[in-house]
Amino acid sequence: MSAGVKAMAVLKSYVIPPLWMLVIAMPVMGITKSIASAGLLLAGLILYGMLKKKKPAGAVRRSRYVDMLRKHIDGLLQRHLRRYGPALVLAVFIILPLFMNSYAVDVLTSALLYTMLALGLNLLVGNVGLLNLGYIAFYGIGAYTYAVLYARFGLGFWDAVLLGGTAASVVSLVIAIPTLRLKGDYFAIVTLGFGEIVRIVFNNWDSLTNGPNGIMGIPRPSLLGLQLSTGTEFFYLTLLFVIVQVYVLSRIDRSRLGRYALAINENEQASEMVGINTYRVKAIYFMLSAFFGGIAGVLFASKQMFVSPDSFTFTESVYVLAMVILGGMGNIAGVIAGAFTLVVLPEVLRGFVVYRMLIFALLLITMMLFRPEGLVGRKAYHDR
Amino acid sequence: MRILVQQIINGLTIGSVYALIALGYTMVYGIIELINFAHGDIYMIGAYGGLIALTLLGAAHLSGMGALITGVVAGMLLSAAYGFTVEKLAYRPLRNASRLSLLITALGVSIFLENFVMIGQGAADRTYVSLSMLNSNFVIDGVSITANQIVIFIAAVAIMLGLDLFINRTMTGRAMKAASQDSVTVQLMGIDTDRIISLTFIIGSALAGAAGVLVGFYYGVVTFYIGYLAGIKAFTAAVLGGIGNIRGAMVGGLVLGLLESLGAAYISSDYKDAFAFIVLILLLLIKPSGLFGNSRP
Repeated sequence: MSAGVKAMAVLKSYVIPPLWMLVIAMPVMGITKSIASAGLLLAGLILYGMLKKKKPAGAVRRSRYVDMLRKHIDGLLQRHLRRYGPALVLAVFIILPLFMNSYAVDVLTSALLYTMLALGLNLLVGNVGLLNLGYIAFYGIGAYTYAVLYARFGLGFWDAVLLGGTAASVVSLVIAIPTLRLKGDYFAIVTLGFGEIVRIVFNNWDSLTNGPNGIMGIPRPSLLGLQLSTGTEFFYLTLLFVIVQVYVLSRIDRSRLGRYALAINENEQASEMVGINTYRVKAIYFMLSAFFGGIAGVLFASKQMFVSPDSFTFTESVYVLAMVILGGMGNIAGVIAGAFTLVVLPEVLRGFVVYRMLIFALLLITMMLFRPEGLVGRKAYHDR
Repeated sequence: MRILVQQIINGLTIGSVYALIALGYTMVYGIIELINFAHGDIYMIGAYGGLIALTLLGAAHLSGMGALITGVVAGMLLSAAYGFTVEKLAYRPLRNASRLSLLITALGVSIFLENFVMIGQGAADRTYVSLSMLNSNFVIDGVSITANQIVIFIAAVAIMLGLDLFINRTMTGRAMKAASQDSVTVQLMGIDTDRIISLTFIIGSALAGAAGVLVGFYYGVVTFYIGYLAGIKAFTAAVLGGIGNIRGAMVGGLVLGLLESLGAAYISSDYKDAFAFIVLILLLLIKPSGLFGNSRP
């Protein structure tokens, strides 16, 4: 490579992009912040260039040693983590709240609620490969079912759990029947529209939902005659729900239905050819996913003792989706990890609260560029 | 009757804005089949671009017409720069990736741009530059039209006519049209599709930027999250006209604007924002190819 060509290459990949960044960021961000962002971009480019250079030129496969290491780690994971991992995690969860202040317990409880949501959404996004951008609506329907029925008829928590889940899945069926025929991204847009309509209805149907002010005074639940009033008690209740959900989900994954979903996700046309009623499987998954969302909503209403339309925005839907993607679509352990990362991380990074969403968006984009299967990732069927 | 005429005027004004934004959606979808979620935020960036330029130059020194044109051009330039960059950095590396990844990336870009502007420009509402020229009001038989509404409508129509001429009469425009019909064959004909895609993003973003500045003058305030709702509505307009169909997007925007303002006046103003979503859902379920066909959802 001649010096001129090399200089051009360096110019093109390391000088022009930061300069361009500087120019376009300047009007919006002002001088200091745009210099900082250009600097960050330069650092990122250099890092990426170094990582890329390590690979032998033209090689498609990763190096032999990396492969061997991966296999070894995979083997270890499979042997030990698969067997003892869940019990270990559970033990930590049971013991941890005893040593934490009420604020930390509250954060953990909301992480568990998001876990329920992310696992529910994962049924649709991860298992059958349908993107739902209005998932939070089912959470809202569950929460409002409890709030409204309590305010009107004094409905108890445990009845509300069933009713909230059922209400969400009935609504989901009504949407599923026409929309499941639509192609991928059109399905996503329709669910987005549905989610927004639900929120607008919560906001405007004053006689039922009390509009933007929301409904207050929702009670905490009782279990076996015991009133669960403290945060720690509520945490254990939520944990119980998550455990049941994880159990049900792992059973579904191994059932005939789960295999159908797997087949549809891998190749929908081929699944249809071997006689799977893909429409029906997708509808069932849609309803199941809504059911879990609705139950999580009832728990949420009970935790907050208050519901308002502000909790069910599009941003929340995206947030839950990000948990699914970050952890790894279709992988229960991965989704749980994703949910906890995205709830706990912002708490740790309190000082960066302004940059939180920015970092989070960058994470989504880079994830799609470099590791679309997520942190843990779902293995293709033939790798199992 | 007066209410009807008034609402039609309001509807056409906001509808022509939707049309301008919808063009970007439709052009991009036509070529790479991506629902560009970040397009609404590009529109928002345009609105800020105009505001920033006019604040820096001091709108008071410029004559009304000069300020208007400076604002619109600045907004278009900034939007075009952002649209170009987004395509190059985020979408181009994913050309052969799954559509789910692409859609999620677009969502990520949208959140990124919103927060980027929020950090740079603050989270509060920003008052837009007010041009006395645009504030004059004509009242004809009880129906009021502001100069601003007339300017928006005329500017939008002029821009769309220009685009139509460009697409149908110039070599590059025809190449764009051809690429949206069959990008592989177009490549075989010796056209650089990557360049065409870049150009599509630049033009679509510039149109959205112009819309952003015009709306800034019209409503008088901008915030960093205006792009979300406007984007969804413009997308609805694009689907209404048959996504991928450029003239369809223009008509779709006007129709949606009319539906929305008439719905707000005669049905319920509380549910004004829900109309677009209801129209969108019904449309996708009943006639996904839109009013003018031409697409393949």
